[in-house]
Amino acid sequence: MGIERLFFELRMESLKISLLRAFLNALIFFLLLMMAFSILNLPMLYAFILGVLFLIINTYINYAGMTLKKIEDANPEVREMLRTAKDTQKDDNIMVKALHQEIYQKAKRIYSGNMVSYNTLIIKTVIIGGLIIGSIFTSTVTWNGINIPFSKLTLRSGSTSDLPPVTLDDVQLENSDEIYGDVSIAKLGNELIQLDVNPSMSELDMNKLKEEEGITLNRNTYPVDIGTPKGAGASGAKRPEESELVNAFYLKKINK
Amino acid sequence: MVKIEGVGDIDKLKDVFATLKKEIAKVIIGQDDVVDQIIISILCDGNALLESNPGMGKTLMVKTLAQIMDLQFSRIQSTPDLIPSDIVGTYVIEEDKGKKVFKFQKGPIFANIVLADEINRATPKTQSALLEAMQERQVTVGNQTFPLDLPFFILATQNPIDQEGTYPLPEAQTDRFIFKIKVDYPTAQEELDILNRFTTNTQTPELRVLLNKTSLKNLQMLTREVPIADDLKKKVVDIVTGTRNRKELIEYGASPRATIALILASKAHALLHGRKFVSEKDIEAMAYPVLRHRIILNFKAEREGKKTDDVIKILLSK
Repeated sequence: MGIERLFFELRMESLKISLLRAFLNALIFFLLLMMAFSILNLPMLYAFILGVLFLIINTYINYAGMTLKKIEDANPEVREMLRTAKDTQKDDNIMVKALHQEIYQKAKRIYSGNMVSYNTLIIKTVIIGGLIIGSIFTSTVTWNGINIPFSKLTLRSGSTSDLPPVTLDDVQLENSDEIYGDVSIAKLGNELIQLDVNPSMSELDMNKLKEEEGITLNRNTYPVDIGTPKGAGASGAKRPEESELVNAFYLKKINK
Repeated sequence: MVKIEGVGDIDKLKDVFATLKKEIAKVIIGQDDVVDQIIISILCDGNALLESNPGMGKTLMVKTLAQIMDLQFSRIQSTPDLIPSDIVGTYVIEEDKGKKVFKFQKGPIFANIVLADEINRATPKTQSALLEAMQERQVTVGNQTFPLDLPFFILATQNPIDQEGTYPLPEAQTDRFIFKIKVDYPTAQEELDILNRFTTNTQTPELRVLLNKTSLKNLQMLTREVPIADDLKKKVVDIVTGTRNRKELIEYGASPRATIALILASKAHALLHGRKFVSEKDIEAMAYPVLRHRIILNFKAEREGKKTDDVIKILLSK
């Protein structure tokens, strides 16, 4: 049981080192993606998801590559002993027991830090630092060469995407449903309204433009054509029919 | 004496082997690799083939080892007229209470460590008697079988120079030896030490008995229990199968017996050096003595002047 416990501890140490290496690699990968996504004006969420995936895959690859031979190479005092003990752990004889005992004694000197290359660690830390600074600078740069309509890329849930668009003619409106207002107001939506809010510059006929007329402005007089006609506004000037209906509805509500 | 009662006793084995080698060094100067390989052969419960020139101290080495391990030693000098009964023993007529009876007289094979000198000079029939004992750990004479006392170890020697009138062991037989150990000449300093020791002293140094049969059996059992990692087992299989696939260098490769021998030898090598597990270094060290007599180079490799050790080096580098 003792040697199995030792191998379990070794596996845990291997996992820790694999996680450390994978975390640094994933961080570099994520920072690179972040810089690229920032320049291309893409959502950071995708960079984060790819980074996490990279972390998982890299951890697995590092852990799978952490063989007993590599542990032995990093700790020469147990060279060839761990592999031999692993292959013969089911044997029950005095030589195997003696080997296990020797491994227990030498295992106290096995240092997981020996399996970490400090040079590589320093280099990766420097790279991460450089990428963090780089990502700060690239956050101010935007290139709109790629315009991916992400809103249209979102998946529609259920089967609603296959349904035909609903028109208001199909909707049965309740006359008594006060929270939606008068039925006739809802039906307004079906009417086509021709609006010319900003006439296009191309529709302008420059030939129809007249020369400006000079107007003499005197004190206490005001040009009639730009003034507000008497009796307009709240006094009851002609208003659009739709406006009359809305007004009637809300006044009715207030009078109640 | 070596007593293995608990895990804590395993750490003492390194000192035991160090003391053993120190004790052998009182008599044998140098030849550390050869001594190591002979000890490893004994630990693997195997037999070794020694290739050396005359006068290299082979008999002295094995005799010293037998003395330190408290084992019975015998020497067989192979000649062309040696017959199997000279090795295994024969029935002789003896008088017992006025009656003449056939009594089996055991041959020199009935020892714990047997040195079969210049085995390639014995006839194939005599060689087979020796090899049967080596493989089966028993001897059959007539219709009776006599088991050999364990531990049992044969060290057969071959002279690489003297090839006239010899009967080289066929590859199928050499495959049964776990090792082929090459004994080189001593260095200048070692030769000087040999000179000083053997030309000035008349007394042979007193040797302590460090192991006995029970300790040796325990060590042989421990050797098999030394753990080895799966990837090293795979490496051993790759090395041995490599000897069969490298047709550009090797005509005939090693058999699965070589795989077993290499694993066992690596375990014994680890134990001898105080390790509780098999290392890659053990396999690389043992590959040479295990494989050099089991592979046959092709003509192209021999023409290029390559030796089996060079080819083994190429296999290990892959």
